[in-house]
Amino acid sequence: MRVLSAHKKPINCVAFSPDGTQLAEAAHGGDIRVWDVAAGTVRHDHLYAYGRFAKQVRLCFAPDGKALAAANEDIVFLGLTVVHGKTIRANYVPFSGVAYFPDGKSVVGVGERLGRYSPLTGGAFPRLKLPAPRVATCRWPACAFNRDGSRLALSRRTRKTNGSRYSETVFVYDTGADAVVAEFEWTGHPANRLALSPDGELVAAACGPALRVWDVTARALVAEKTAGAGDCLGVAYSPDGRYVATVSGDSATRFWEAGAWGEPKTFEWDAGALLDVAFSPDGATAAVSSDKGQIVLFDVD
Amino acid sequence: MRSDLFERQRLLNRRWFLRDCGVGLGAIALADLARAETPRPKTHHEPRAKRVIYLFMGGAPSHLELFDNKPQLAKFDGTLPPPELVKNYRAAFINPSSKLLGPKYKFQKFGKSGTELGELLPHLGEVVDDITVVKSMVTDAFNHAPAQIFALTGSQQFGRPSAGAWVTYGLGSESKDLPGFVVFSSGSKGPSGGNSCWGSGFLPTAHAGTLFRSAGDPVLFLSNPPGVDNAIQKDSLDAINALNKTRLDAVGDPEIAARISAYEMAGRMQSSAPELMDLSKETKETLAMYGAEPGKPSFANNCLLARRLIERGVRFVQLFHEAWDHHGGLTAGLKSECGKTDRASAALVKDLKQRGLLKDTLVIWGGEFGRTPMVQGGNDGRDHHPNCYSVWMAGGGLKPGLVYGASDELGFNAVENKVHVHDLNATVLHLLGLDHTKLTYRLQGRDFRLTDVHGVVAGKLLA
Repeated sequence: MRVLSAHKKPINCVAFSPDGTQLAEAAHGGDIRVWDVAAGTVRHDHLYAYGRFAKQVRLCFAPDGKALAAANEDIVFLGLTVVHGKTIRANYVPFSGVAYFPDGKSVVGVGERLGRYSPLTGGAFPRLKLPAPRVATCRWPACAFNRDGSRLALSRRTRKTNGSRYSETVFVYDTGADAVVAEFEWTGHPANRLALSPDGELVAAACGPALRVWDVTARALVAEKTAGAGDCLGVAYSPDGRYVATVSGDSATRFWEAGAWGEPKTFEWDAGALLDVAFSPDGATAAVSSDKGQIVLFDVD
Repeated sequence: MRSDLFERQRLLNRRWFLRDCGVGLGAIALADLARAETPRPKTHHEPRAKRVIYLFMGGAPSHLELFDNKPQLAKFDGTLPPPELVKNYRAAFINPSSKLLGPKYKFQKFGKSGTELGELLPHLGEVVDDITVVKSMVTDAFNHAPAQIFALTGSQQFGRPSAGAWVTYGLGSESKDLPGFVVFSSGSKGPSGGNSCWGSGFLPTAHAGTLFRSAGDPVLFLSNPPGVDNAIQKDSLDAINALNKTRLDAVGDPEIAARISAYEMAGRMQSSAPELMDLSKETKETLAMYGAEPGKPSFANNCLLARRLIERGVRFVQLFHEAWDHHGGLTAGLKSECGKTDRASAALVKDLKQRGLLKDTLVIWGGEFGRTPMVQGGNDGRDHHPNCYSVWMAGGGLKPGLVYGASDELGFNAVENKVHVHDLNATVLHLLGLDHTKLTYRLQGRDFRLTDVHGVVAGKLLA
């Protein structure tokens, strides 16, 4: 167990690089830094995601680990792509989530709109083939790829025609077939965070205080669990598919055993309220970030 | 019948796993105990200290009368504290906007370093150039039991290993005939935090502190009762140990190994303890220096016994003196307790130095928190105060004569070079050659350490 800490600000997002040697964090205010995991030192500091006052920034490393995409939803513009030490491209669109396509040539950004962009030029790619909402008002809270990038999960929130209720949908998109293979709809809390199992067969979503898991092939909800006292703020699938990890703004990290979905293994850290969780690519280490500016790295047994 | 069958099957499975799979928990436990009794040369870095004597002043002595001279507090005696200072402040008993109380005792400068100490600590003044005073301690807890447990285990909830247990877990002991971690208690009562203050938590039980009495047999029933001679006792112990070992082989419970070890240690202590406890062999000068009287339990006796213990290889000695909770009667209470502790504490430093032991022995003196600058109990008391307090340390790798950190003008908040409880524990481990981030124990899939996810070594304290 190790602790990385360079400030006292809440860290809303943590993301490992594909080779596991780097860990990116986004702190309250949009302050992004990249850690050298082995040395425990900051490799790149103050990589701002275009907006010092940003509260929520989501991060994703490029497949080659040399670039970092950052999505920022709380201001009117977005720093989309940051390369070590400097921002190389900014798209002025508010996004709440971002993920690299496995070829590294494009990213998907979600937020007030859903788009696919070139990280280098900002140019738009052809739209993903998704069912069009029956209403004009919709937003896309979250997105996530599975391990090999063959599947992409997207969550959508639409306001129903009577204007009184929202409808929530999670799509699972096959990137090879360029088509949606499953969609799950409900009313209630939106899916603000998503995680796909490595094979893309299970999709886990943080929906308010609940963790929901759907089976893509069976097109069924297989688990719905209260993930903690507050809203579930972070969800991650272990690379071997054994666990779904959640954090819910308290001091606990909960590891839910996939398949059983029984009582979770709970690891308490006296690091404040935990805001996000991520697994290293080899699955050996988990990282949780806190509202006190600490990142706890610990072994996954 | 059915349950017997299942029980037998369960034990066979366990037996097979424990004994024949090459993991043998019993063997591991015994090896662990063996490690606990032999020196472990491997540290994370070059140690500056080999052992610790921790003089824990339970109840929390007032830093404002003993270490932290605040003329402004005297000047504003009887006035209300600045509202912004006590905004959101949570006191244990008083209204935070109680009037300020000026120091009850004067301060004077001592030694070449000119360190200021309260007038109640004249003996400490004689060794002030050998000690390091930290005036900027802070803690998270403001009641005695959680604060003591927090100071000594890094958690306010009981169940975590104490500092002494972590140290013996990390370094083992150099004594084969005495426990590696020994505890004494004096004062009006035992520590509010109870046994948790020296417990082993989830570490093997062999690392728990052993509470010694300060006169007579150090632990009860160490001497043979009338009618039991050495031969009978040996037969009894051999039989008990044989039974325990049979059970250990069967079920592999490490706690059985710890119990065997405890019996064996008790047997060895029957010969080592009387010699240890016999203070009459100390010179008159030494006894006078400490204020110790053989056969009469006291903090002074405990200090002298602490020196004798570390001379015999004991790794960690902890003295509790629970007597400083002066919500009222501050003036008389401080005078009384300083009278009991000042001479002996200073004598310990002096004695260790004379014997060449101070250079690799770490001495720590301090409580669980400080006292409020505001009054409680008429005009002669102070409430609990976690925002600022003072401790002193001496020996093993520290800068002697240093005054580290500072509080604000009223002694309310630590404002310069804050040292949190976790930082102090990290520093203690560092001086012993242990990296507080690497001294871990895995329990139920999670690594634990004395400082948990906190702690920074106070590097400026180090020589």
